[in-house]
Amino acid sequence: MISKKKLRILILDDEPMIALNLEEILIDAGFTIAAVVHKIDKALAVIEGGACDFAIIDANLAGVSASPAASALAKRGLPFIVVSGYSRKQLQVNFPGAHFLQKPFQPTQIIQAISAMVLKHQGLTTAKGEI
Amino acid sequence: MHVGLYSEQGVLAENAELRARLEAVEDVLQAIRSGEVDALVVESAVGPHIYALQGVDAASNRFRGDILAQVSDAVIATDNNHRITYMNAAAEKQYDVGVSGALGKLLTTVYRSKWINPGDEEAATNALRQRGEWRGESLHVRLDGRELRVESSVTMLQGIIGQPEGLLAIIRDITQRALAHDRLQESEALYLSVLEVSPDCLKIVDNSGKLEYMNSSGCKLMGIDDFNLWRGRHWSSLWSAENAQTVNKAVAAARGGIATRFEAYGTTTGGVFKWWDVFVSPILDNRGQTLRIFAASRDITERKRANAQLRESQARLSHAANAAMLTYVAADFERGYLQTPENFAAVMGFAVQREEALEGASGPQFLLDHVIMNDRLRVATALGKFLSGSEPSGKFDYLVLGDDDIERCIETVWSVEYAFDGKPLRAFATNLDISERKRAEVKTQLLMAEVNHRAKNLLAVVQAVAQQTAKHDDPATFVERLSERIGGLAASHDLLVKNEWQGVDMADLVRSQLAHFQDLIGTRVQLDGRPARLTPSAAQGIGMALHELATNAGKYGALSNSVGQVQLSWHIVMAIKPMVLISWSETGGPNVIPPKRKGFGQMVIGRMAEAAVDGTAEIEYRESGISWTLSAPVADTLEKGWEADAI
Repeated sequence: MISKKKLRILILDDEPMIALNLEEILIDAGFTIAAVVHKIDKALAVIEGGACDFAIIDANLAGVSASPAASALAKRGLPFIVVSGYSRKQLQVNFPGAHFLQKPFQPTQIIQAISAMVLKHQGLTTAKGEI
Repeated sequence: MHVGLYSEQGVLAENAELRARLEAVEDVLQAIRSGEVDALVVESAVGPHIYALQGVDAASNRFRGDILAQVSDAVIATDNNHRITYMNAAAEKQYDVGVSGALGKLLTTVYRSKWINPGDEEAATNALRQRGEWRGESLHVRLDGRELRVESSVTMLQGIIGQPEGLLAIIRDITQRALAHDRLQESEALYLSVLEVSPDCLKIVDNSGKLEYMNSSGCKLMGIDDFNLWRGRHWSSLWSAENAQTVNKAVAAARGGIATRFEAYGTTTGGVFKWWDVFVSPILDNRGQTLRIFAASRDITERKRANAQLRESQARLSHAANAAMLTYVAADFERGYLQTPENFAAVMGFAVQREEALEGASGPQFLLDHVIMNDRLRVATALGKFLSGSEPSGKFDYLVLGDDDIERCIETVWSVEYAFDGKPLRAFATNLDISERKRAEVKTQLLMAEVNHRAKNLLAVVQAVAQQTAKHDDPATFVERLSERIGGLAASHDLLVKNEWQGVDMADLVRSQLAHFQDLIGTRVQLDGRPARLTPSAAQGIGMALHELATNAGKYGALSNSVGQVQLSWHIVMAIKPMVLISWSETGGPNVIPPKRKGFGQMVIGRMAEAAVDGTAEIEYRESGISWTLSAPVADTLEKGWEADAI
């Protein structure tokens, strides 16, 4: 089981205040931050460089969809949370498999969501490993 | 009408003839009485009889009897005591008495006289006394009670020396004639009163077109005060020259037995312009000859005006409907018929003529064929309700693809009219092109979603600011600091909304974040930079940084005393790529002590500002004052098209 400390989280959000606040929340909760980025190309570089184990991505980056980042994460089998000021049904891309949180959210909500997803994900990979 | 006139004619003619015959007989009697005639030759069936009239001898008396016997009127002679001395066959018949029984009896045993007007009796007595004769009308009541109206000619009979010997009366029964005359007068009065009550202008003109009669409504309509001034003048003289011809033609046609009708306008003698609906008809006698001409003119000025107004308002309505892209379908259930107006095809975007489009049973199918494919079932169901009359009213909208390849959103609102037994009679549906409204609705929904998104995002930012403020700042000043920061965010937000999210000018942003120090701008706060329009995200990030710098300067830095200065400048410089350099430099404030731990302010002017513009921030805590420089790529900071202007 991967410890909190070892779980490297990527934060992708075009709103710097929110991204930096989230970074502090996660650090305070004991997670490791892989990177805080505001643009899709930087996020893709982190994901494809294998530098993160988990991601929290804003669905919409100043009018640009974050779906390429979601695809890259899904391709590598990495769990991620999608956050947005839009409701999930307003989003044009559905982000299948992702957990969704609408902004604004409480720090405890995101910490619980990360923990739940990591547990679920570990269960899946363990099961796969046994086969 | 013409029957009455004919009767009048007939009776008048008959009357005149009888009167002439009576007068001829009387002339003869008068001549005989006055002795001017010596002998009379009377033609009879058995040959001529010659009567000599010398003296009152037996022969002349016999002559008198013979001649009186031949008169078809009743003749009765009486002596001075009113005893009957003579009565002819006509009198026997008239009073239903026998001459043998009547002779020698009082006249009152044959009839009783009644006078028509008071004074008639006295006039008759006087006439006989003074002139020896009287002529006039009176009533004779027979013994059986029958009342006869009679016209009598009474002559005093004189003896040889002129002494009165009695009276000779020639009495004509005019009961029938008088009755007919009364009836004629009555019916004529009735016909005239019928003509009088009509609101139309009714006229009788003779065969040459001369006015004989006009009812009072007509006189009023025509502005004629005294018809007598117009009687005998040509009807056509009441019309203008061009319409006089039409009138004369109608008169000529009526003379030939043909009724005509026409509409014409004219000015009344009172000077009022009027439209008339004129009917001209011959009044025929029983041989089919035109006796007179009847003309009825109806004032249709108001109707003409109303029709014109109706046409005008229909045209306006049609214009309005076209402009509003409104059309309709009328369904007649009894005839199984659909009707559409001219603009139907245009509103619906159909290229075919409306007759082909929606008449009869193929209409609904034609419409359905134009409805977008995956909506046809729903529209067919809704149309079915409308066209079956199964529901009293309804509303539905749908997309039709026009023959011009334009997709239109049509809203149909319909209602059904039912008979008393509940059977649907008619249905009416309006079709309105609501494409624009639909587009606006979609746009509004998008805008609402966007507003919601931005509000949520801003709340998330506020939440982050609150969490950071709580974490890094003194709890005692938390509320105050948070309020100030929210105020700063709100000021930036105001500018964004004012500019419809199309960016914010750097100078405007500076003034909004330095609102507390606006009196110092130009003196202790020096601004230097050309117009440069920041992107919304750069404006928010830079705005927050400026807010933190200004708050710090006011509390601890150059603006915390009365002499310190702030130099704020922004410039574009060319490096590998064009860069925006924003510089905040304080001098003259209290000596600066670098902070021991990183607070919220440091984070905002440092990492947050860098992230907002994808740039780098440098902070120097010089003893003389804080210096902050933000260097950012123009591409990440300024709106497109504004960098050139700013360089």
